[in-house]
Amino acid sequence: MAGGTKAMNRAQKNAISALVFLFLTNTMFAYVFFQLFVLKKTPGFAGRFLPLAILILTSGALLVWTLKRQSPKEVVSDERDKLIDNRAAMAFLASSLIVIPAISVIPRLVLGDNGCVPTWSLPLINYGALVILAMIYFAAILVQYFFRRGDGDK
Amino acid sequence: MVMASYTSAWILLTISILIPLLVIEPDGTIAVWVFPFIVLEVFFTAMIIYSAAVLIQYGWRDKGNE
Repeated sequence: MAGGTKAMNRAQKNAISALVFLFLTNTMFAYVFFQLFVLKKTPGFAGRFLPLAILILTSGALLVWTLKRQSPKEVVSDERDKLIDNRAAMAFLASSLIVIPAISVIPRLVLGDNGCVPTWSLPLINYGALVILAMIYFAAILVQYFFRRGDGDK
Repeated sequence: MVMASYTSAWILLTISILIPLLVIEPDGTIAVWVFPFIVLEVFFTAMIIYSAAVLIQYGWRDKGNE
């Protein structure tokens, strides 16, 4: 952790907030998908608005927690943070070379050569890939802070 | 340069997904064997943009050197 204390800097807070937000979004998405396509019923009022309310309230709390500085001397970003961010971006890029071809091949493997999917599902597939890659990016940032990378080590 | 090609790849991927949505309409279907070709097309275009970004930046820097 920054400066040998347990205080988190802005990059770590951003990464944790983003991971929690993406996890909640994914859970909501999976819930709606399960209701619509597995149970084949439209979610009721509570089923529709309760997850959305939880998501909005959690997002607000995360936003306040991320923007609030723990100390007036807290550095927004230094060289070490930039190095960690660059490595995480490379992890994002490298994993996209696996994730994007995978999402193009998996439907063909599941549905066969003559399979078809509705066109409205294409943006959802794209969004799903982006969420997976974003989670990899933020997880890479947290992992590097956890192992104290960027302190001049290679 | 990497970021230029990567950003353009995401934009191209999004466009290539929106085109069938607009042309075939949301209720239409698309064959799954098309997906790898879409990704391949996006990859090649991103490589062209990457190469162009490299050449343009070398071209700009050489003028001021020596």
